[in-house]
Amino acid sequence: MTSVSYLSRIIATALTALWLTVFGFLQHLDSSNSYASEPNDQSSLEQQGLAFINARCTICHSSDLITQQQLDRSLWTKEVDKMIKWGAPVRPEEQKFLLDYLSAYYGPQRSMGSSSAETERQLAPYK
Amino acid sequence: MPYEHASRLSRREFLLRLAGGTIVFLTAEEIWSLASWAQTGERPTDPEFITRVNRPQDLESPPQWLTSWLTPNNRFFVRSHFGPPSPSSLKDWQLHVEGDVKQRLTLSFSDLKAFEEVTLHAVVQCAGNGRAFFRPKVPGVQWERGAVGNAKWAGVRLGDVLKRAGLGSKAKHVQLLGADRPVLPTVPLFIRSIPIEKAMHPTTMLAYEMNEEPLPILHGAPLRLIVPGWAGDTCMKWLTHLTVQEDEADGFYMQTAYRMPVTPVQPGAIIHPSELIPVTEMAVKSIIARPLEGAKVPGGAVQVEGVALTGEGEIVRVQISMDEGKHWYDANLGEERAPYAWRLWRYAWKGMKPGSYTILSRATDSRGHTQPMATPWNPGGFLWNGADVVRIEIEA
Repeated sequence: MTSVSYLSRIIATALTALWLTVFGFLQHLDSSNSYASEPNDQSSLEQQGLAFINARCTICHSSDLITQQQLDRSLWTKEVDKMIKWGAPVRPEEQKFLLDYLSAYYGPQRSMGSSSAETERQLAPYK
Repeated sequence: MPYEHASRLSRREFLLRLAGGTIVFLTAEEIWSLASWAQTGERPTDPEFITRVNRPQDLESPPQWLTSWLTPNNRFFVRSHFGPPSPSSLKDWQLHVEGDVKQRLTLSFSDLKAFEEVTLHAVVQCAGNGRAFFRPKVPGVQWERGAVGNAKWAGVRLGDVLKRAGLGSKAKHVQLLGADRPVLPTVPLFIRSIPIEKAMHPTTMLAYEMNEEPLPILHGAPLRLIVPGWAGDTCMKWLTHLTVQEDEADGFYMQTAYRMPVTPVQPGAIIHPSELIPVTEMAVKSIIARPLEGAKVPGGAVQVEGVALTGEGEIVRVQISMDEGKHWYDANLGEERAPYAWRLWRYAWKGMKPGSYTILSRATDSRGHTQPMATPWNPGGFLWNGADVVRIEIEA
């Protein structure tokens, strides 16, 4: 690796760390912005959830990686725990909100339309 | 109170916008990398790809592309853990061979080209191709049919490079590392390993050409590993480090991900780590390229076609059913064949009455392995090879 790219990576890492610190600080100042409290209604859960994943998860990957999943709460819990361990900026008090959102909107019962995966499911008797 | 509510929203929005700005900043290096690669004259990827994940990029070939012997480079599926490294990080690219070897090697691209060149045809298929078909659903990129391609690769034998270094007495595995890096340093590196027997196998190749073109960046330029017959998770792209060692590689991508239960398990069962083994060889499989799912086709002759592939061995038979598996008919196999390549197949289906039909396909290989109706469930959703299923309407 060249020194230029090494330097740019150090700078990127330092600025990431700085941003995560600043983000945490701003959130601390602005407690009304916390996702720790229950959203008022379902549409609010949807809007806040989407805003949350767009803000926190897309540091590493686009949100389509999340929205294509159909997982139950226990599988979502494993995924979220893994991501937090890997550095996703999610505070402990925000985890319930995030899991409520993910399990409600990207759960196993969600219809994925008439994709071929759906067709395969209709052919369950072949199994 | 309305004012307070509005105030909260705007503050939240402010924070989110800040976050958005940071994301753009954080990926500036990545964007720069893609922009720089765009100037290298490589053909851009085909816009008709199915984008499974935007960033890092995971692109799936739509089924109708799976009808050619060789998959063009700009239509070959793309799987990325972190996306390609920046061109600057590859400018002074070298391959390091270290660990339990008699002599450590640091090879430039021209050093590598001095080894005997070999070419072969081989399928590369993502271990998770078909993951979307498992029930219950499993986490991961929801690939359907097209995380697979067949190419002609050129490069040098990994075994020749390892022989040059000389294996030590504890040489049991070769660990692989590429130049790609995660955005956050807290994310584990994509590190894999293969057993020494597979590393020394004469077909295991360090490839620098794909379909007679320099290896494209999205496919691992300047050098990637090709392990014919094995799933793509071992075919390390942007390869920089080979470490010969006694044990399998440590870390998430070898010890947790890309592992399957030795024997089938019930969905949701707790599996002891000792009952999980690495994903290696691909399973026998056929894929229907045409007609497409949900197609409305005129009566008369319907051409059913696609590809079939396996791990070790060759495809010897592909069968089609139009009556939900009661009767099976042999498809014609394509003339082009090579040990680790896929085989094209076709079946001309004549004289069907108007109505709804379900087309099934299944392949058999030279070891007598036949594609099952469904693949036993596994928690990572790997190596799906259930009979392919397409529903069509024949019109009057």
